[in-house]
Amino acid sequence: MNDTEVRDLLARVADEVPATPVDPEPLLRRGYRRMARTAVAGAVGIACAIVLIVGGVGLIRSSAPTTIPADEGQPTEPPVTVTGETAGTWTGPCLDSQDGPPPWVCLGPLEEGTYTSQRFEPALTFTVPTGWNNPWDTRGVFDLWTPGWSDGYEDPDDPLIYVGGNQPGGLHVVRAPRPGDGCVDATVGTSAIELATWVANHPAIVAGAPSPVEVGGLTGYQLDVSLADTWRESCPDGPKAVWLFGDIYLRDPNKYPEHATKRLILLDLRDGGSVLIAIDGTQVDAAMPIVDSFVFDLG
Amino acid sequence: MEHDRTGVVSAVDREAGLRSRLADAYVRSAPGGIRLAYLLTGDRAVAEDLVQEAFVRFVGRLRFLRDPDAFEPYLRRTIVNLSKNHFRRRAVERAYLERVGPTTENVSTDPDVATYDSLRSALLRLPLRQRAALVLRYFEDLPDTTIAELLRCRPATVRSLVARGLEALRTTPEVIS
Repeated sequence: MNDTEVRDLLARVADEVPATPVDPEPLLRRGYRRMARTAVAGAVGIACAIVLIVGGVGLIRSSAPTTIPADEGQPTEPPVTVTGETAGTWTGPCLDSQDGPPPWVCLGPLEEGTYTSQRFEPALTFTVPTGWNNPWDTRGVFDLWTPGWSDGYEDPDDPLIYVGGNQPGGLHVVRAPRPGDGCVDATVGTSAIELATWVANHPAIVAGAPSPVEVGGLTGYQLDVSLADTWRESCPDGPKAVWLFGDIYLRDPNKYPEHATKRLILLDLRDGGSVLIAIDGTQVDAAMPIVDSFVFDLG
Repeated sequence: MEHDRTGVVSAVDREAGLRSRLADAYVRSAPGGIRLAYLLTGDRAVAEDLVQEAFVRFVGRLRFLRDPDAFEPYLRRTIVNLSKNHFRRRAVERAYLERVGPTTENVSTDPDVATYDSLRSALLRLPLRQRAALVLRYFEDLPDTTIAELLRCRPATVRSLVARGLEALRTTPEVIS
């Protein structure tokens, strides 16, 4: 079934709904009534809040001592300014489905230099050449897209170079990676060696033995992986593929060569848990110098 | 005083104009919205309810009232969200799909009709997120980044949802045969 057939199917199903005239007037009246109710409820809520605050303040004042002892009531430490959330933040290109409230935090397009993530834990300092892009920075995931990124998926004229997970190109850093996407193997542990061993022994994957590695102050294991020719399944469903960690998966090399190989680096955190660095196979040469510059803030 | 009277009349005119623009926006967008909601829910009555609810919510939000042109993208987003809520709230998606499946199978001996019925049934059996990704990409012709915003996931996830949805349709027995 190709794209045209899918479009035809959807159009045909949609055509089952006959075009009938719609009358907006009753809905407009409902909408205005709802708006009025919302306004009244809001006003009542604000009034109640004011009453409670005024009453509470009065109660506190009536029970407070009239003099302040010399060793009390002194100013506390000045508030800590969290500069990481705002300094250098460029929200324009951030993918806005990140977790947390807007404005979304990311560094955006990067000039050559050294930068530090703003939300990823542990904080990650790295050095990049010009042209890389950081559109995603959350506590759990940090992405770096390779230069020339474009979103033209499945377009043969597109350079297909953007990072993270199943997206080709660049770097994808994940805290606490868990195997699978709907098919988690509960018997797999959370340490780097346990996860690396699970990957290496996965029947869908061709991989060498995990080799010890040290990145940014953390130790772990590195392995290059590809989808086995003998693999015909997908987990949990879909085309021939294997989901490794969340969005990170390998696909049929005959159809999607850009998704067919990955370099995985699994690192142990000192307080438990692990961090995964995933690099698309086609971007290893470009990405490894950046990985070599990684420094995790281990406090 | 005359100035005040002019101001009152002007406000009334503006209000009437706004209502007219809202009504126009609804008349223009509702049929497409109902088709979208139908593709997501497979139920015409539910689809109409969702679109009406989306419009009522739109009217009920002061900040949108000044820009009726924002209705169409708002409608699309709200339909997707309400579709999810519909299935989640009633916890009947699975039961519903089981119910839909038998009624749409073997309804015709015409091979074309049978294939269509089978595909339609397969489409409605897809998990909602997969179905939504297919509909938004192939029916609404939206880019993956926009679909990702609507489904609150990453573009990569949209692609995997589409791929999995397509694969499920391709493995429909009538398509294979």
